Formats: sequence, structure tokens, C-alpha cells
Amino acid sequence: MAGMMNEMMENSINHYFSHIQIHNPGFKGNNEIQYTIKDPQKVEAGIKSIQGVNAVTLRTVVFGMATSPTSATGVKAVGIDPAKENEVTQFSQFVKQGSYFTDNKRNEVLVGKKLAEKLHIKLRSKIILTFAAQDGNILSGAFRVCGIYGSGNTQIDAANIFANIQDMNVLLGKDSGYHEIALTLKDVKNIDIVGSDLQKKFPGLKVETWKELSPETATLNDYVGFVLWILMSVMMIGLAFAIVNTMLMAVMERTRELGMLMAIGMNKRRTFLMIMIETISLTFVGCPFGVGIAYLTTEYFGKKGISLASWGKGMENFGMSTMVYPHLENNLYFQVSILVFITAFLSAIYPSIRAIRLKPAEAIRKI
Amino acid sequence: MNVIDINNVSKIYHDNAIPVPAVTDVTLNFTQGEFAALVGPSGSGKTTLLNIIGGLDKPSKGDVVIAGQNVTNLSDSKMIDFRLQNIGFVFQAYNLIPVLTAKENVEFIMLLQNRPKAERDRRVAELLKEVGLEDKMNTRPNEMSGGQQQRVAVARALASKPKFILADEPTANLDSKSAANLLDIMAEMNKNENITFIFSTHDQRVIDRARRVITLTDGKVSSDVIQNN
Repeated sequence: MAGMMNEMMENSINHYFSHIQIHNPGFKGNNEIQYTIKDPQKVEAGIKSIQGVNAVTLRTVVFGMATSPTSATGVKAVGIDPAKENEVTQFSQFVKQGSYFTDNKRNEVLVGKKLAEKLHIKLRSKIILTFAAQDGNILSGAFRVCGIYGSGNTQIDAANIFANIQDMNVLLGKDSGYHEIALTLKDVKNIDIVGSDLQKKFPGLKVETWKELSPETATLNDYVGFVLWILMSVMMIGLAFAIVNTMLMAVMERTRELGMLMAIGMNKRRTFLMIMIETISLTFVGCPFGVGIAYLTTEYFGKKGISLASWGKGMENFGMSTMVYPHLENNLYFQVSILVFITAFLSAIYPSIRAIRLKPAEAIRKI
Repeated sequence: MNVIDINNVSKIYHDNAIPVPAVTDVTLNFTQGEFAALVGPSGSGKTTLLNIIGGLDKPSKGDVVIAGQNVTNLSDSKMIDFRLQNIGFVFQAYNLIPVLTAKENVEFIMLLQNRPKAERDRRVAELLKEVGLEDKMNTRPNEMSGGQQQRVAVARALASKPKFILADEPTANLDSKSAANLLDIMAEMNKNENITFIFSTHDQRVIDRARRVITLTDGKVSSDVIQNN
């Protein structure tokens, strides 16, 4: 589950939303073409000066229509600097057919696989992008499909067209500008701190983290975390029963031996401790072995992936890829090990109590 | 002073609320150095009486005084400690801890008594030599014969320097040669070190070697005879 969640976040956050986005406050409400970011290069330089920022890219975002010879649909056209965009989102690796962008060709676009199906277009197909200018005029331009991408999120694939920002600016004319700045961090754990710093630095702009940009993903992430802990608790309860059963068997099978030990002078405290130490010792052997297997399995499938192609179409609608790469944080192994030890310790109490309640005279005679 | 005083002891078990008297009004005394056997048919109460003497069971009536201390009303924990310091046990079977060697089994009881290592090592060697098993120190019980295991059990019983040793059917699972060998060792210890042995037994070989034979019938002492051995 953690791997699937990671994949989903990777697809939508790292490869599209990125960690933090900055907009003109007016753009967020209306998505209208005139709400550009003032002095975008200055803002970009300011962002890069903040410690912890990994890469920054500037985008033009315009909502309009894409028309093919046979179909038409609403799209979000994103004008990007291909090189900077790739630093932030590694978008080039999602191009499934064709190429990312070529240096010397103009008016190229990257179209999502779902969108290509909708418009019935393929590589080298021609499409017309149409937008409404600020003054109400219709702006349109012809573009050729240089690549078809699959981000693993069909919602992104169905709605977004990517073009070179220079070509977009030519088309938009006096309405050209930058509507969006996207950036990634070196460590996503600092997202709230960096977000807060950016907001303070640029009070006139709207700074949002991925949690605000994709609240459903944030909620799902929290939910998955909660579910994981529930699952873990259920597993620990199962483990507890298994340990109680095993150690009770061990006590019952050694009734005569325990009776003999108590008869010759082993007191209840020592008997209790003996059963507890046996359980902890077994845990010391079993736990690292189990954690080791879990680590190796996760590492192996984390690189190789587990194909869930049978559920492919359904999962892609939720932004989940059909290839799941299991992933566990290193500190989780430690936390689980501690949980296992605590569970083992608590589970051993009942069998230990049963052992010390044995009456030596009866225990020795047990058949 | 007697080593053991059993004063008017009775034991009644309750089997589904039906009282079953196992031992009735038994009064006996044992002095240091006795080599005594409790004999009687199955159900006569000899094992119950042995268990009461050893503190493994509490009497319904009467009391047991060991070396001047009334142990009848000691708590379970105190009784375990008392047994550790004062009473040695040899059982019919399952005497030894299977995962420990002969040396470790004998040493075990001294570990429970928190004796220092040097003393433990010395005493283990001494006792295993006394029972003729000095070459079996590092052998586990499953690698020894029944007779050898019982000899190790005797060595362990002696390791705690008890006031007396209780042996419940110690020869029951042994062939005649092993039984004779075991009895020789115990008789030797009794003679040389004045160690008191009290047996619960059916075995005529043991009865013949005992100097005092106490016969129980239906939970009561029916005879108490001194033999010239």
C-alpha cells in the first residue's frame, strides 16, 4: 500500500504538481489569461536563493480548445521550458511515443495518451489550439504532435497539452507571460517550512504546497497511513495469538519438566523469567530474520516492480500506475521490530503465569 | 533432634466433591542417617506422604516439622526456597533437564542457590566421581542409560547439601544391574556421609536394602519395622 501511495504521489506530485507552486492570486480563482506573475525572473532568482530548493521552472497555463480533423475537446495548454521542466518533473521519461521536444522545430506539442485517443490523433498529427485572449479575441495556432506521453495518471493525460513556451508566447502575443512557477525540494519533509518562507518572501503571490494543490491526494495519503497502522495492529494481534499459542504449547509440553524444576527448588520468579526469556530469545532470532526477508523482498520488488495490469485501467483513473514499486521507509523496519518485541513480551505473560501456577506434585505425575 | 517429625498428618482429596482420604492420621519421625522405605500397594498413600514430607503437597490436618521448622503453613514461595536448601529429590523419571549435560544438571541446583563458580565446579566433579560418572560430565541425558541418569539425579540431589533425600520409585524404570548399582551408591553415601534417604517404593530390591520399612495400607501406617542391614 505504501508503494502504491508513493507511486500515486510520484505520478501526480513529482511529475506534475511538483512540491510547491506559485501563482498570481487572481489566477487561482479564474484561471484567466491576464493573471500572470509579475517579474517572474526575479521571483525565480529569489526562489533559487532559498536553501532546500532543488529545481524551478516557469510555465504558461492557458485553458482552451484542442481540435483535430475529427474531434475537439477542452484542454489545459502548458507552455514550458523543456530543459527546466525536465529538471523539475523529469517529464521526458513519460514520453511513450515520439520524442520530448526537438531543438530546431517549432510549434511542437506533447499530448497525453488519453487525449490522443479522444482526438483520434497520433504522432505527427496536426492539431489546432484555440484560446480566448484578454480582449475577447480568439487566438489559434497549429501545432504538430511530436510526442505522446503517459504519466500514469489518466486525468493528467486527458487534459494537458505541453508546448514550448516560446511557441506559446508567439501565439499569445501581448497576453504572453508566466502564470505558474513550479519547484521541487531536495527533501520533501521541509515542504511546510519552505512554503512558509516563500509566502513571506512573496506576499503578493499565492504559494501552495502539493497538499493544497491536490487535497484529495493529501487526504488519501493520510488515510493510507492510518490504514497501514490499523493493518499493523491487526497483524500484531495475530502475532500475539500465535506467540501465546506457541508458548502455551511449550509450557504444556514441558509440564513434567517444569514440575520437576519447581520441586527441586526453582522458584516462581525464576520460572516466570525463564518463559519470558525464552520468548524474547525466540523473538531475537525470528524478528531480524523476518525483517531481513521483508527488506530483501521490498528492495527486489521495489526495483523490479509488481505488475497489476489486470486492474490497470481502473487504477490509472486514480493516478496509480499499473506497476507498483513497494517501498518502506527505513525507520519503519525499526518501528515494526520494536512493536514485535513489545507484542512478544506482552504475549509471553499469560503462558508464564500458567507455568508458575503449576502444582509440582501434579505436574510431575502428568502423563 | 529428629530430622523429620510427621505429627498426625492426614490428606483428603476431593474428587468431584467426594472426599478421598489418601493419608490418615500418620505420625512418624526420622532421624539423621536413616535409610528408610515407605512401602505398600498402589493407592496406599506412600507417594502422597512423600510429597507431604517434601512440601510438594500440604496436609489437610496435622503438621510436618523439618529440622525443627514447621513447614506446614509455609507459603508456596517459601516452601520452594526451603526445598532448595534442605531437601533433595530423586524422581522415578524425568529427573534431568534434557538440554543440559550431566555436569550442568548437577551444577543447576547450585546455580539456584547462588553458589560461587569455584565451589560449583569442585562439588560437581566430586559428586560425579562419587556416583562413578566422572567420564560422563559433558554427556547429555539422552546419551546415557537409565541407570546413569538416575545416578546423575542422585548427584544433583546431593549437590544442594540437603538434610535428607526423598526418592520416589527411583529404581522403577531400571534393570536389575542398574538398580543394584544405584542402591549401592545410595547405601554408600548413607553409610559414609550419614545422609538420610527415604524411599517410596514397590521394589523388593529397595525394601531388602532398607534398614527401616514403613508399610502403609489404605493411608495408615500398618507396620514400622527395623531391619538388620
